[in-house]
Amino acid sequence: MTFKELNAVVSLLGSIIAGIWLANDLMAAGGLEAGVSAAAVKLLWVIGFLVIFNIVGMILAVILASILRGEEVKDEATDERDRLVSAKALGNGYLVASIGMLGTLVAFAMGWEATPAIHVLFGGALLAGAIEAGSRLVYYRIG
Amino acid sequence: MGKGQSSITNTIRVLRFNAGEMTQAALAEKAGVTRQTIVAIEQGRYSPSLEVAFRIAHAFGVPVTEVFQWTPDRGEADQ
Repeated sequence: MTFKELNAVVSLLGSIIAGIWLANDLMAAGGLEAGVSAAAVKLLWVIGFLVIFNIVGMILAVILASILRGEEVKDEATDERDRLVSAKALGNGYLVASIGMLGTLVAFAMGWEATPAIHVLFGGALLAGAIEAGSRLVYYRIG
Repeated sequence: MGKGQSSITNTIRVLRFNAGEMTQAALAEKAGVTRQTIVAIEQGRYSPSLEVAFRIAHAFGVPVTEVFQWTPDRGEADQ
């Protein structure tokens, strides 16, 4: 597995873990009863988790992969295939993010409170990140 | 990657063998792409740009048609 594939795996894993935690939090009693400010603080913590998870996860993944392979796993310069994979994966992620944005507007239109609506928006962005990372992995592995 | 990729074949493996078992890494360096991209091209999972196709052909010192071949789909061939 290459450095770029490892990066996609770590990003995907981070999104999945954050998504599961968020879903559990929402299903817990009172998960949606907090105000918008409290919800925003919680979601900012999730973003912070994702940033740290990606950094630490990549360091650990590279060390582990290097040990298993017996040689250092290095990042290579980006070429035309990397740019194409990135563009296609971003396109997929953008589509999901747009659907999340649409879902948020629909939620507001249906009279939802701001707290659940902000979770729909964040959930859409989180899913978009997961789809983008998953797409990168699929395009690199399968083509 | 991309529509119609299956109708494009290549002889990179043979050409590498004929070039003194040139490594994928060496070819990648000559063509200005990553080794993973050479692997993907060789396996038919990625069709390179014209520029990279010409660079690969240049690395072997052969015309690009000797490296890449395109077979029209049945419907296209009938036209």
